[in-house]
Amino acid sequence: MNSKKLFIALGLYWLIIISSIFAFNQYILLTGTQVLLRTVPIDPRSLFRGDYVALSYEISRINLDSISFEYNDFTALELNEPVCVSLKIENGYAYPERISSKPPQNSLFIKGTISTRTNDFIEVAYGIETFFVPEGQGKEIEQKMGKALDVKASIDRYGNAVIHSLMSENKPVVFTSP
Amino acid sequence: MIPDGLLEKWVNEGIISVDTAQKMQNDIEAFRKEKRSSKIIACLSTLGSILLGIGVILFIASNWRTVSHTVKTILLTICMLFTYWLGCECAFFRKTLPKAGASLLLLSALLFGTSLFVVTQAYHFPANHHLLPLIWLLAVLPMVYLTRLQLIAVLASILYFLWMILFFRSYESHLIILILYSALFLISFGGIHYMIQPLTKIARAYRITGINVAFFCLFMLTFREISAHHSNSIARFAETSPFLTFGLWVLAISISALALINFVSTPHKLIPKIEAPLIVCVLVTTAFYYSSSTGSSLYTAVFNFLFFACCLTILITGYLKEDMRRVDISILWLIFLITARYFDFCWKLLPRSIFFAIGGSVLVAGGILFEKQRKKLKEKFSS
Repeated sequence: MNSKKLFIALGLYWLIIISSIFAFNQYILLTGTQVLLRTVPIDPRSLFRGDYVALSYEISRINLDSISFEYNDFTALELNEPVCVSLKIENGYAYPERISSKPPQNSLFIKGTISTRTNDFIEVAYGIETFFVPEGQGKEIEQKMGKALDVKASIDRYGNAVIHSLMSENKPVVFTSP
Repeated sequence: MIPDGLLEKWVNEGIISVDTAQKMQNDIEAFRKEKRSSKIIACLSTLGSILLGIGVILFIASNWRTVSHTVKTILLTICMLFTYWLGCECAFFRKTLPKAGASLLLLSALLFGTSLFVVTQAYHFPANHHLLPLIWLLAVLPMVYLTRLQLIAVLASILYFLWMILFFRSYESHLIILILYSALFLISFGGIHYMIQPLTKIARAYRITGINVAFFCLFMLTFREISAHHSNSIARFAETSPFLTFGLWVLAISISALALINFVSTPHKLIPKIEAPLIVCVLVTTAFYYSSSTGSSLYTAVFNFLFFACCLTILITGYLKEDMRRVDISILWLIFLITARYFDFCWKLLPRSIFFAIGGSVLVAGGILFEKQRKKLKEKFSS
């Protein structure tokens, strides 16, 4: 292969990376099951990508007394260890049902990693804890913290989740351009 | 370059004629002028590319909603590919504007990162996730070896450290040691590139970046507030995280293996012979620090000594290899060390006015001395 072809191959390689990230997320949004998740937001800032709302969900903090699981000893679990959380849906909202190390058969589940664990509860990060907003508009979300603030997310059959929209009082939050 | 007076000597000894000496003198002048203007062009175009790249990144960060994310991604991807193609044409295919072409290639690599940010922003990918710099690095690495441009190698090194920092950031108290190991890995990995002649520029970019980051980490460990405090946290954390201990071992073994390869495979080269034992020495010291933490000032003293030894080694190798960059780096970090220790020891001992007066005088005198020495060395190296 001559150098010109190598340079063209590199350009194509870049294009493939960008399009595959785009396609992967778009696939989840189009084919995944849509669920609502209750949230508690705060307002930090990403170095490269601007303002965002950091979200914590009700399903992020799981009380071990109220859920079935396959583990004998939760304290033996490592931080950042991957887990699958089976979900049941009631009135559109998703609630945790069971925690397992392997994907469950024939039920909706979401993949996550353990971020905190004690004897009573564990906290799981699902990779949907960030919602990017136009510059300076994170404060508006903060003001809605007292009211119901939900996230509409799509979850595919492999447990991958992508945020669809931020919902306030059952309506999508609309942002104005800065 | 021919030193001043040598041409005259050759003419007097009858080795060359007066006309030949004149011609040689003119050619040397023209060459120096060309080199100077070439450097200015490279500086301006690189600066332009970096500023343009930062501008686009900040524009994306503002998350302007008038244009949809899809349109922004498509526009940015087209810009990225167009800049890349233009850079390839200028620097490699037609070779008409190699300096500007290199800057355009750098800009295209920055635009790749921007496209990546805009796609991940659209799908609310977790902020500050280590996967983003990793994907960017994996995209830039083939470009480093294809173009063999130092600028792109420096960008890859920065992305490597960014990835490492974000990857290890949850292990807060270990971060300095982990980044130090990452820097030692880059230095040793860079050394491997010297075995292949066309990759020497890449080797230098990796190693210079690695040396500076390693110096920064070691410098931080020279402070009691950091080395003694971290010592306690590390002891606590090591018990609960076998995964991290395993990771540190893997890094340490890889660094030692690479340093050994550098040491064995380049039998006649001086730098690997001196550097490889020094790298092992830093590894052993930090391994002791990691495994038998005391919380006392012992390690602070050890790290001060180690930092000074590293500065001296880089200075000596720079002098022996007539490498001005090495001399500059070692002097810069040596000044940082002296200034920091002066503040540590004299801040409470002397009245403030005397403290600043003496400190200022020492720094001015040291500056003059270093400047004189540096000038002498530079003249010696360029002759």
